[in-house]
Amino acid sequence: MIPDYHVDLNSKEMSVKFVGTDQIIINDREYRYNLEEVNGNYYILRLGEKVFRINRVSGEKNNQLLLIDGRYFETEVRTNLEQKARQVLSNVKQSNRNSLIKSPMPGMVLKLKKNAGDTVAQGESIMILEAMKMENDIKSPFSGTIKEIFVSEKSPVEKGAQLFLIG
Amino acid sequence: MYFKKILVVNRGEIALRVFRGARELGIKTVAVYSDADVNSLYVKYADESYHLPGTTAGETYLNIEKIIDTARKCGADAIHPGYGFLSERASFIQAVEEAGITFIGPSSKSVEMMGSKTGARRIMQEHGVPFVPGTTDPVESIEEAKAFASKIGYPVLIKASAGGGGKGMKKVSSPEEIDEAFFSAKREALSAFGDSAVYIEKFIEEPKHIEVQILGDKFGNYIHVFERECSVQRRHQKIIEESPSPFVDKATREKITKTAIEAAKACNYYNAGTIEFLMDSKRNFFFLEMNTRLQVEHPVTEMISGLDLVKEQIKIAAGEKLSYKQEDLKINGHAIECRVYAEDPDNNFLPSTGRISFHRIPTGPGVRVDEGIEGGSDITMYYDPMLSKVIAHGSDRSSAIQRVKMALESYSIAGVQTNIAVLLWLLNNRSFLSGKYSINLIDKEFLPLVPGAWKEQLDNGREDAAVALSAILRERSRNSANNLRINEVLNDNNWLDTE
Repeated sequence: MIPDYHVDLNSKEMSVKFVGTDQIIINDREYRYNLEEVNGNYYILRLGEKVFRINRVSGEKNNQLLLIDGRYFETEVRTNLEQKARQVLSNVKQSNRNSLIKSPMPGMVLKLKKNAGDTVAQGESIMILEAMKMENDIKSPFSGTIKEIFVSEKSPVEKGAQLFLIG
Repeated sequence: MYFKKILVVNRGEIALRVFRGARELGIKTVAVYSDADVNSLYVKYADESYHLPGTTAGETYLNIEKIIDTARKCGADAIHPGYGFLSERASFIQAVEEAGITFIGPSSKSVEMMGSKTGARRIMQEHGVPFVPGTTDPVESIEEAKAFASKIGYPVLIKASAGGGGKGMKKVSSPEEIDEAFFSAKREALSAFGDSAVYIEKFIEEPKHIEVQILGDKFGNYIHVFERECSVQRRHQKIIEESPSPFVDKATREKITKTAIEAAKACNYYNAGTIEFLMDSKRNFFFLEMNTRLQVEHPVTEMISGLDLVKEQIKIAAGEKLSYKQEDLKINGHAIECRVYAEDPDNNFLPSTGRISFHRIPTGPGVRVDEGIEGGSDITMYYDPMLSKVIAHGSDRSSAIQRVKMALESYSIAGVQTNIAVLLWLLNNRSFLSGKYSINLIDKEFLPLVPGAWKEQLDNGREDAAVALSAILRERSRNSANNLRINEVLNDNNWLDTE
């Protein structure tokens, strides 16, 4: 089955295919659906037997910010073509740049626990980032050798700033 | 009139809460704000507001000189400290007293006696109040820490003498971990409380956290307003609190509340205070610390007792006698509070910063929200990531739980990740519902399901709904050019036809 769309939900990826005018297949789950647009910010979606009242906080063509029963979802929708382009791009990145660890939040680097050249295991603590008065342990999402460290102790970092390059 | 004008040296939901209490008594309110809080909700709610230049707590909400100066300038005749920041700093209370302004809280002397956790333990020892084994003085060096830890046996806790709220607190299971924990605790203590002193106590296995709310006036009268249970904690930070405790029976309640009043008397305490205990599985309890201020979780006590603790604090500070006698108070039903934090549970619970793009507060029978934010508020990295507290009251525990669950499900916050889904997971957890769980509930039952798995347990199709809506909207925008398929989707669906 070739999906119509690829949807990132928070950090998860799912595939979507439309069948006819009122059926949708999400991964391998098939539903009949009906969507009522109350206004541009409020939708009632019937998916199978379930009814969802969805608050659309904001959104563009490809990105939606949605609230359902107090849960907050951020989605990104890609067509097959966009999906392919992304895969090619990320392959290029992977081969050139190894694995980059970025800062999940703004804060201050309190302590670096590793030096360039050290090996790290997945889940191993690599640095302590202070934010909101708490010391947060930053763990490596990958195993490998530290190729480069982009920050120093006592320096502030922005969200998304490059921290470590692991190869 | 008790006071003309109250300055609140705090921010967020608690500043707003105190303003509400003061306003009910016809008292004018004054806010102070840092650079980062210029547009915060509480600032807009006050009658007057004054800028404290800077962003760090040290430059602003901990800046005693600047605060006293502001209080003088605006003509405030009383200062309420909220919780955290300067609320338990004896030198601040002294400075307030010397400036001829009334401090809404205990005397600097009581705070000094109880504010140092080690000093408090010595006083409890003298008054026969049971406490957790550990040092009665701050531990000065790493060598001393190691020696003492081996003496009482691992695991131990290293705690900030001036602390609270889990900041500057580290568990140490073996001698190998003690160096890092000791210095990390000292650093956190220094940055959070301006005092790096730490002490060590024995780690009690599988305890519950039970605390007693007390009120005392300046004439030596005391009452207790029953206990709260705050055993749902992550990294020693309370997340869900309730009153009464489902674990405390009548006999234990009598004993623990009596002990709490003894503890308050031991430091000639007046105003609102909380005595915290750890309780083991046999309902033995140990003094943990006294919080000489209003607690974050005070609303659950208000909901079951009918008291307004902020108004009581103001009246006591103004020199009134307690307006209630012990026999006037009884437990009415059950109340539960959930703290809503800006954090990402699947990303190591890291604080989530950003702008609140949407905010709608839940309502319903028995529901109360103490909020610190509104749509457009900026959540920065400078302060505690708590956004608001959702509190529900019911005739019994299960109805309170049901109501708080419904409230959380209809609470809409967008723009930052919150822990609402975690709260809902906890409120559906079997151990939590049975009432038989310890402060290790989250470590033992929740963390093994992070990331991801815990969400699926409660998802109930919502993820698919979010994906479906996003894909349908994209599909419609794609087809809107020829407008063919979209019309079919909108108008020609045969939902009611059964095949």
